[in-house]
Amino acid sequence: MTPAFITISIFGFLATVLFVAGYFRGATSALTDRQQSHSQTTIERENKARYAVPVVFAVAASAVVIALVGLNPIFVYLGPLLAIVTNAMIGFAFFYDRES
Amino acid sequence: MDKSSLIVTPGLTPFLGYSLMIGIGVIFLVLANLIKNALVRNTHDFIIANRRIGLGFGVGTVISVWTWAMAVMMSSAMTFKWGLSGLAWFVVPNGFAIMAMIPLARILRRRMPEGYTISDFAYRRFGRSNVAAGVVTLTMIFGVILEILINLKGTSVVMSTVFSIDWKVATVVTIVTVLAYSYFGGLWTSVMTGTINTWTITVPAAIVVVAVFSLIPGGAHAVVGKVAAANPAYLSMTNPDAAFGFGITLAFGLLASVVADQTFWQKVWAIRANQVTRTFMWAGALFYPIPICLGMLGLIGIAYRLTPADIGGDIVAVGPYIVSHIGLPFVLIIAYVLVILAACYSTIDGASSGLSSIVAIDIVKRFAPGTSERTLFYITKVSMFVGGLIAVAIVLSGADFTSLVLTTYTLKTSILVPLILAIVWPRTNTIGFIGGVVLSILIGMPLHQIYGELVGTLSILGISGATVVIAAVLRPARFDMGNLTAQAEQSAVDIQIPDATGV
Repeated sequence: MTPAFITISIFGFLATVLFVAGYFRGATSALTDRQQSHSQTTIERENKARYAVPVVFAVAASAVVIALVGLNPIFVYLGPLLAIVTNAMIGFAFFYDRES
Repeated sequence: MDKSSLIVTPGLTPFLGYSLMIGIGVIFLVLANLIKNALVRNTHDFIIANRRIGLGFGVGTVISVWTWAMAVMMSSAMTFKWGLSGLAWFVVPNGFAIMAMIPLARILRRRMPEGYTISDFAYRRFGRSNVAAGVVTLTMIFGVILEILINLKGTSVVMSTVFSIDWKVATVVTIVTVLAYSYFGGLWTSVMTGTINTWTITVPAAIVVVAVFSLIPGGAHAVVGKVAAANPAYLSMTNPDAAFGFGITLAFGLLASVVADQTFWQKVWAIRANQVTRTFMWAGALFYPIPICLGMLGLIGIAYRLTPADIGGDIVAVGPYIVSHIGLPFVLIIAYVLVILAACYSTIDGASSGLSSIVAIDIVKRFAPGTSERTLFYITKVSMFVGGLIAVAIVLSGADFTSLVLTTYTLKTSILVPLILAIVWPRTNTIGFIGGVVLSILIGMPLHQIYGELVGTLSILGISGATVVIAAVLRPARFDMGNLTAQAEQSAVDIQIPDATGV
């Protein structure tokens, strides 16, 4: 097992823990929500957050991550690492949801 | 790095393949039953999840339905064919297409808070025109069936490559498995199982890719060195061949695949209003690492000097071929197969769920508004089976479904600009909308066949957009977007779906 494999496995495990915790919170919230609303739909206010700058940043960042592979082979591992981050962020989203 | 050293891992039996396919389905079936009992009481819950999907499930489900089985393999294939330019042109427009929904979603969610389908928007936006709504409905149905059959095809490629399973049997097992669990909870099932699938698409995928590089002597440095030796252009992102070869047309195609797809509009109206923007923003940005990660397998294909003939003739098989032949531990090969199955299952159940909303709202409730809740509920569920059966029949017939792909692609591309203008430009009128779609198909499709994808795509976009603008100039009329809001109350009456606990 190489250091890269061990590192990605550890990060993967940690992300999974966060994801599972978030998933259970989300499922529990959905059940509670359903019991409380009982076919009543609560219309919430639209989120007014600005999105143009984050979109440009995300698009540019994706291109940069790919370009980096051509500059240094170590960045081959950046894609897998970010895939783990994606999973962790989905787990985090379940907690962030109620705070926002 | 000698390709003769790539030998298929022993023990990958068809029985194991079937067990994986059916095993996931059984687990999801149990979950779906729990979801049905807890969250689904009527058609409203089934098709729109009571508009209570939050950020976590929202992001998870949007990523899962957008990660097609074919896309998982295409990222490796495009890297294999074009190098980093191919990966960039495949990846960058993919995430952007999701985020491009944000402004449109915000407008429609504000104007039609009680909306269900994009066809219903067209119906109300164009003076209850059945023609305008019909064009959109037809496009959505074609799109859903195409989504299902492409994912079935992708899965059958993987299962036949890795487990030597008959691709026809793999196709049938896949659709039966997905529809069995989708039947129960509708959108809630799709959302909750899809979110689980995003775990599969991310964590195991990352571990498998790193494990593959770890097995190669010299690791990433050796692979990139071999790629540079094969052709330094593979490591550049500025290769124009990739852009003109597929990148530009793919970019517009992806945009059309999201904007003209009920699967995503269903999410727009099902996610809580205060999380719609954030959901599509996060989903688009967080999607990016998935194809980038899996695309790295394509570099290994280049480094080993594989040819399409080595991997069965189809370059989409490069990822599965490397994973099953490089000597990975058994468990990691299974993990990779789960990545593909997860991508396939979540896209098919998402598409089926989208189809159920189209059938309920744009067909049954519009043309037979007196349909009882019980009947509507069953029709909605059966429609998912019908869609799946049509897709399976097309795949199993062995027919070259190029014409279906071309038709759906043309429909989606032709509707892209008129639909966007209908949402953002009040001067868009019915004649312009319908005329734009029809003219762009009539003129653009032959151009597409004669001059290829790039000219065809740009022609369709140009003709459809120009027609809308010309019609607006010739017959000036300004649609009051506030009417959509006013009609929302009427919509709630038209699409009255009462509680039907116990159905």
